[in-house]
Amino acid sequence: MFGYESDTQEETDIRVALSNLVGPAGLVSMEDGVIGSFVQRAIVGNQGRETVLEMGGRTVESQESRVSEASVRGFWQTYRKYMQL
Amino acid sequence: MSGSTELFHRVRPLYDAYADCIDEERYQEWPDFFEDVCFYQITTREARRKSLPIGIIQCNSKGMLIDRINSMKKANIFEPQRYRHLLGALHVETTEGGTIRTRMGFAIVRIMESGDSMLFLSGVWHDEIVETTEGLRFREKIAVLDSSCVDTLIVVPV
Repeated sequence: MFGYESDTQEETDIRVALSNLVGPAGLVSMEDGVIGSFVQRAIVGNQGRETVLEMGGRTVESQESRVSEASVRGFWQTYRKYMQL
Repeated sequence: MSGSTELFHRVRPLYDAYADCIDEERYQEWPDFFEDVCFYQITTREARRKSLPIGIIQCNSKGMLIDRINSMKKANIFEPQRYRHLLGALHVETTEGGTIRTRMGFAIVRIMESGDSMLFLSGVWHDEIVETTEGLRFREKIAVLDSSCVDTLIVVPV
């Protein structure tokens, strides 16, 4: 995170407080590290090759798990429809 | 010399109890090692050397420490894990008006549910300890990690 040299002490304190949300112990972003770690372990046997993870399959429908990219697939399918791609 | 030896023997059990609290997974008790108005920070050797205000986390009240534990137990998603602290040398640096400044080296082994163990973190605590009616408590605890790289995440307190 960055601040400005012209920041007041109060503004700097706010940035420092906000930093508690990000990074390896960030209240919001610590899960990102877990996901990276899972993916790394899953593809470690395929170094030098390409790995495709189809999270939640290929369809766009409600799923029981949050570990799914159905919403992302849905977004791009709709985007392609409107853009007539 | 005998005075500082006595102080050493009073402070050392605080660290043993602190490490035991975390290693035995009694996380709800962890904030009780601190005063209500306190400063707790995890930072890195690199950030501290450059006097950067942001390290890894910082809390400036016991309430924020309690929030961390509540977040860990109720909100955060992570692989089950626990720590084993290996405590290093304790240096009692200064005592002024009942405030004791110390440094203590540590290493933390992280044990995953699968049984995999690894040397997870090492560093030094730079602490300020005060005498309260309930015994010695931390007013300030700054964990300075040797490495700037953390494997995956830190959710269990250091």
